[in-house]
Amino acid sequence: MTSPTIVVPHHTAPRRRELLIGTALATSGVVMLLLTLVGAYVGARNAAGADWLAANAIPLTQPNMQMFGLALSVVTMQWAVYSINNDDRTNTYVALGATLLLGAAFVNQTIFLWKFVGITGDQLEGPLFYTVTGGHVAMVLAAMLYVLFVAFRALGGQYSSRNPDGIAAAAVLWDAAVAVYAVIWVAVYIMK
Amino acid sequence: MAVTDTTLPEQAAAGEAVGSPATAGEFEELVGTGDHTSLGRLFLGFSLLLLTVGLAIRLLVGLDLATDNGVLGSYVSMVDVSSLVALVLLGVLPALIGLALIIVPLQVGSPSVAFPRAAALSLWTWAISAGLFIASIALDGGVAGGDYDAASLGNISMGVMMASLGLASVCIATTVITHRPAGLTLARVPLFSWSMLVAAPIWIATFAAATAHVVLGHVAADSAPGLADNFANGLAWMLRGPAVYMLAIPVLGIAGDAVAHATHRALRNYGVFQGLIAAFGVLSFGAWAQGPRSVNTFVWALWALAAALPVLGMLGGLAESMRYGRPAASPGMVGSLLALVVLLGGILVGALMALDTAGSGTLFDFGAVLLGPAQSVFVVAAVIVGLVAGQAHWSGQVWGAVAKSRTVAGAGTLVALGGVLLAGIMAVDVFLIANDTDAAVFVGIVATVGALLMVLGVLGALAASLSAARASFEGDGPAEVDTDGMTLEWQVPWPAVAAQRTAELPAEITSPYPLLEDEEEA
Repeated sequence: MTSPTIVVPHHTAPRRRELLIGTALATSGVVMLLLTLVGAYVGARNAAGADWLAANAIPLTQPNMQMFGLALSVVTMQWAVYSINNDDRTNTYVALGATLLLGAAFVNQTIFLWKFVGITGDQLEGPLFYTVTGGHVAMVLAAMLYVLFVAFRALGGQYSSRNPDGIAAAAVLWDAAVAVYAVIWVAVYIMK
Repeated sequence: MAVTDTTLPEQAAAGEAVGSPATAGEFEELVGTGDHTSLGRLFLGFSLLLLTVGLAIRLLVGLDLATDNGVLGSYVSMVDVSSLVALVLLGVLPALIGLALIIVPLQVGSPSVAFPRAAALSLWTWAISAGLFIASIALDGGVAGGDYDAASLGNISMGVMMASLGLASVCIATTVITHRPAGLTLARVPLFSWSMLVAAPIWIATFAAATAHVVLGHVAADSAPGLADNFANGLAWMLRGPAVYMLAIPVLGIAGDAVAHATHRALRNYGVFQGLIAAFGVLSFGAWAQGPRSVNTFVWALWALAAALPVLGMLGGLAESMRYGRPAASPGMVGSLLALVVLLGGILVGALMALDTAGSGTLFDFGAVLLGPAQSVFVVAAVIVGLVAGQAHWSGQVWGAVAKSRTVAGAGTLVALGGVLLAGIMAVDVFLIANDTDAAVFVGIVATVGALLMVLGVLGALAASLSAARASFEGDGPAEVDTDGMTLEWQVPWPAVAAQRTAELPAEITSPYPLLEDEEEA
């Protein structure tokens, strides 16, 4: 049996900014989704009035520390972008590692907070609370996977000052995740 | 081209293959393709077929009204609402994405779409979820059905469809932004590609906001009525103004390109046309008007009225171009202008709805509860007419040969006529039925005829496409390109296939119409 030979175009180097722009567009969709969820949460809370979270107390210690940790991770993420733009691989790896560590700390604190607060799914607040905070944790986990992915590719030598797009793209998603948390921090935890 | 193939061009030219020879059969090639033209054709083909299904469901709703609920029984409200969702998510939007996947990379001179694997993923995810959505309608689910399991399936499949169409939008917008050759600045991008660049972020944001409500429905609603409420309060906004206008953004681009092609002259004040498309895009962003409270506001009424201005400006500008350019009438040009006129009808209905809502208790209180769905049908009809025109305009690139003018003109006219009949009767049926209960039969018959005309129109467009494809298939080698073309998509052999792209880009691009420049220099 003869099989067809398929002709494909020349392999070309990745186009500059393709990954960055694509990630930014996809990230805008994720941000819109989470902000809509936050809007629904605030709307439901306003409708419920004093009954909202009457049986549960949400402490501010963990959310504040989470916000502080994520704010710090913006610095480490931009450190990685700066380092790869200067072909400083060692600092790039350290910065990406520090970002991942701060992301893991955030996820750990969120799980602790969920257990500590003890909101159940059959409560009025349950589905919305876990959809908003769980949706954001999913975004942070996706951003961590993205950072891990570009870190491995950086180890393979695919990123440098000539092509820093992968790390810059991961930074876009990461920074957006932090910005969304800032909204959740105020709308869900501070305003309660 | 399969996305995993690695044959190098020089080896392919010598008849060699790298490693193990490619053993993919035709089916595997089809499923594994990353060629933007194949993906676009598959999107177009599937969505046109599903569009006929959506319109056939609307036809059933009309028949049900004409027979005093003798066809659908208790399922009528579910089928009614689900058919609108089907028209948008199974029909017009994926068809526009299919056309864009083929044409946009060609217009910007790129050998491929950005992220071809993601584009392939979006196609197949959409196709599977579209099938699940139709199954859920059949099982009394859809978006307002009585069976909880089937309604959950409808809810989830709707979310997956929106996510996959959003992903395809990311690929298209990224192609326009990053795949342009030197000299083809954003200010010089052809109008269809420009309109897709405007539409894509709005589609992404709108679908993301709607998907949030799909998630909430899945998490919070534990019964079929709960899911129906979730749709009515959290998702129905997507089917009325201003959000529903987002479907029509590419139609403005199609009209701009088709008229310029027909006149064979550069559009004057190109930036103004781009600005009008961008303005229409901004005015079609409706995620801010999700709740009932945001609808009954001055801003919403103003928004609904303002949407007409860019379309009127576009029509005026194109008329001015035709006055100077002596256009050769083509189905693409006539159809796209007709689409803009039908779109204006939808915006007029939106304006009436805004007056009705804002003027509650006053002179403007019409109490016409079906103005929202009527507006959706108007806009959907406008987009279908625009699609028929776009397919006819780029028939060579898409299907390999020029489509038969009479078939295309007939198809476009049938869809426009049917859309106006269906939407028009939906807009006034409350008054008719309130004054005369027997009028329901008349309303049902008109709605049935309208839907039937639209079905016939879409089938006509499909027939024209298949006929062009057959003519191309039976021809000897690629057809010659249209020498009147002014933008880059007109220099590739017909039908456009990524692997056979041989045309060289112009040495220097200094205007939106590079081929016209070359022609004038020659």
